[in-house]
Amino acid sequence: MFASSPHLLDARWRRRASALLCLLLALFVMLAARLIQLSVIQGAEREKDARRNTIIHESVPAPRGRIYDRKGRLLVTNRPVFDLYVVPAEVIDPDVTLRKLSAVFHKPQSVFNTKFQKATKMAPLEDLVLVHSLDDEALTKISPIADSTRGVYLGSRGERTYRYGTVGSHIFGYMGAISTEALRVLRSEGFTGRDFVGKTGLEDFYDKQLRGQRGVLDRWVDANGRTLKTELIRPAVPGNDLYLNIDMKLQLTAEKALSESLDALAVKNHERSGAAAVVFKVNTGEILAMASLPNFDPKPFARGVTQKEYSALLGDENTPLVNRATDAAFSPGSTFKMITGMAALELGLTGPGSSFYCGGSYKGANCFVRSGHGHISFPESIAQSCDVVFYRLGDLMGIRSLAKFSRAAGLGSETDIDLPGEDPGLIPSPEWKKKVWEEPWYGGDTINSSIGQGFILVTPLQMARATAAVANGGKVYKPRLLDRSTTSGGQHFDQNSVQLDNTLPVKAGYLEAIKSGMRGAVNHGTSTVADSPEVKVSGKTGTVESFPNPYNPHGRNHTWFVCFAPYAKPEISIAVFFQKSGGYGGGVAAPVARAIIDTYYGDEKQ
Amino acid sequence: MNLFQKKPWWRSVDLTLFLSSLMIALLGWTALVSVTSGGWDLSRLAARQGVYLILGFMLMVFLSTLDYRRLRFIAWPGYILSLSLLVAVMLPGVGQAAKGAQRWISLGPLGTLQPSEPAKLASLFLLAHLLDIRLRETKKFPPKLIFEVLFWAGIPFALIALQPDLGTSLVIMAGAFVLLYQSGASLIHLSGLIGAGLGALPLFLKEYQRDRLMVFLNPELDPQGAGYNIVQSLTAIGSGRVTGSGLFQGAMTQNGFVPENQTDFIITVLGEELGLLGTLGLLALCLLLLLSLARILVHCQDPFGALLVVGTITLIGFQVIVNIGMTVGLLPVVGLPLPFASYGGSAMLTNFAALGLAGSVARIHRTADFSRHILEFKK
Repeated sequence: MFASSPHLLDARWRRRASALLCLLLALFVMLAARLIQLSVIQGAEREKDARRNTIIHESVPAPRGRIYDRKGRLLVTNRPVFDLYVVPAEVIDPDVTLRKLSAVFHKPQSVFNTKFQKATKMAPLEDLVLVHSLDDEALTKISPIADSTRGVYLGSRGERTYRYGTVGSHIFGYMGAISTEALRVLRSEGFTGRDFVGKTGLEDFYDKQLRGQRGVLDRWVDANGRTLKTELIRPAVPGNDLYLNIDMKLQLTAEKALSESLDALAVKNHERSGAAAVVFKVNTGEILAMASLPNFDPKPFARGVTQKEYSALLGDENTPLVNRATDAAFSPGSTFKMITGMAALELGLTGPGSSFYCGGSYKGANCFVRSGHGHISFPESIAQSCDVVFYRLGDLMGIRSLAKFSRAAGLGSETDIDLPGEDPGLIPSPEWKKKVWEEPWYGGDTINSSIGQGFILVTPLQMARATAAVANGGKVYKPRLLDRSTTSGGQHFDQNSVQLDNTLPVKAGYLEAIKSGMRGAVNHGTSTVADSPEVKVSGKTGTVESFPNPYNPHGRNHTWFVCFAPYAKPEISIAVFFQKSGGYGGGVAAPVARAIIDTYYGDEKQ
Repeated sequence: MNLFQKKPWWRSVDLTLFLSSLMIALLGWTALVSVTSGGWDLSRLAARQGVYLILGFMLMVFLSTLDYRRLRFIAWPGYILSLSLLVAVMLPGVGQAAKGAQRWISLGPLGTLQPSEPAKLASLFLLAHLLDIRLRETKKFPPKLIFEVLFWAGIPFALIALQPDLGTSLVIMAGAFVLLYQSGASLIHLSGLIGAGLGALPLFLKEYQRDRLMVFLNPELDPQGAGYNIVQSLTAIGSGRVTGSGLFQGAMTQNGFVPENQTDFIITVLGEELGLLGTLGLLALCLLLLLSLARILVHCQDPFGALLVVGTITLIGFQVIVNIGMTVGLLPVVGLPLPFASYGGSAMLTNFAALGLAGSVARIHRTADFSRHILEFKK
């Protein structure tokens, strides 16, 4: 029965079996020797390593700085919230754990599974947030699970809260989950995958000041995970508080006025559009208000925006995430006549008292009053916004001179305001046209440019600043949202001081001529709506003719109004812009400026 | 010598085999309880593993009551079945992935099956069967037989290596080579093939496997990344010193400082909490188990039974040596569980089943004169 292969169990078999057995024994001896080496010879050293190993270095979060307006009103602060997070490598039975967690949130387990599996591969030792900002009910249900399940944690975090809701959302910007790239840099400062950092607006620009410095806490743990001892190696330093130049009351007025106008336009035009307004202190560069509509709700961002919410915002054709005051540039239209006018005076092409004749067109380009203005003085040509006068002056000086004065007024380049993502706008030159359009510069281009049509692009902020420079006698100040930042206790502060960027190469008397023309526009010209009873206002309207395009299918006019007040001793300048509103600057944009001025000077009187 | 012998079956069982394997399993299970529960309050994982331990032990006892020779008819069907499970695990929707490898088939409420585990046993069973048949009529080992054996071993090897699960696939190859060697294949042929295989290995390694190899050659290369496991493992084992910090008292074990310490790195728990006594105790039990298998081999007069026991020795021995070798930093981390001790139901049942077959061999050859064989072995 056994004799199936008789030759197999021969002497060679036994020899070889003995050899294998010897090999086995030798290997076991090596393993035993190694175990003895680890536990006895190196034991003391390794025990020390293990003890060091059981000190957990914890990073103590620093409260993020708050944001106040110029009157000390609290705008942005923090409230404590709890996030549910897991450390994938520590979770013993992911399936059971995730099933338990998903049951609490009535979510399909697959949502958590996907996140978990990705994190297991990418960063198994990193905190993985499953749910941001738990509500009270979820918190009560999750707490016992987190206590009893290895690898599941509740982490507290200060969530940004915005006292004024959506108002000023473009100024503050929003925060978001830290990116992998940013984490690589900030890990050394104790940041983890759970942390939020500023992504846009002031939250981004002043992120370093606002976030403060994390502390370090060493925690000794025993076998039961009990804390034996903690030692604060370095306390957390709270972030600096920001005090803005913004006056929230003016900001509210501006957003309300813009919003009411946009609502009325939506009814009239059967399409929604956007608008922006900037209020600028002419002698300091302080930004008193900066409104851009439509704005967005910062709350989802503070909580941790979902992909769905974010996609909806990005997909909105009215681009609510774009700050139209700084991040988008448009043709300035007739508001640009301030620049053409000052350049013509300085170059001696006209005098403050010169007179012109408008017959309704110049070299084939029409005045917006087709019948013409007839005999008209220089200041009155600003008040009535006569195109023919400025066609002529622009044509005489040429594009290079026009560009030089535009740049001097701060147009066509970043204003260096304390916000990220600024659009520089565009002041064209023949070289630029050759390069981009592959066409020579034509005389008609200059004529178009002289009334702010054609290639020139500016931001509302740039226009508010240029208007201020006209008003204050030629000084171009750097715009500033931040007045000062203070340490949390308020002991020390950094003043964001006035900075003069440039001076207009125009004699004061010539600027006075422009100003008087602008006073005329409000007093009896194109923008009498802005003639506030509170104060004497000077202004200039702009109406940008547009051709139908995918973004503006009806080719509706953009409308502008820039102004400053008081006429005699200017304090504030305002730029108001409406995108594809239709109508005229005097009718659409000027009322918003009027509302702002009424609030500003109405308050001062009280 | 037949199944209807006078003695009842329990009088002829190999007690050393049963008890040593049971002790290893209980020691490993205690470590698992410590890792997952931190006390005698059993975690789901520990409870489930306890059930598998009992089932495995019962399977071993049951198999040892059978006549292993009458099981030869399942050599091919068993092999084919295990291959089809290995193929099934690769199909999307059937196989389940974890940690970047597709290794499990869901059995619904019964948990998951890791087909590579039964495949190890099925392959070695087939090879023993095959070698016995091929060598019946010939006195000299035909070199062509090497290729036939390597072909049948190569299929499950490749399927498992593709999952990827290099450690488990290597068990099958090691088994094939040891069986060939025992059957009388030329040592020159075998070493030539092993050399060629090792030379070609780097071409097939996945990136993480290459990383592990590099880290093994230089653990300080990346102490926070790929080298983390091994550094933590060495620290945990060494920190227990001679007597350990006490069960459930290991600071590293209890706070999750050693990754995978419920599976491949289970010995770190023994090292930290029971010290050198625990780890050497485990090693001694493993040696006892292997020696009891070797004793069965000495008694065995049936070539098929002998080959089966050689396969079992290799299956258990290779895994013990490679697993402990990698946890103590003597071998690269290939990912291989410690038999009977690491968490995993499929492995537990497979290993006990292998011992059950060996137990059957032992029981059937027990009546032969003990002293005579010892003398023969010495000759």
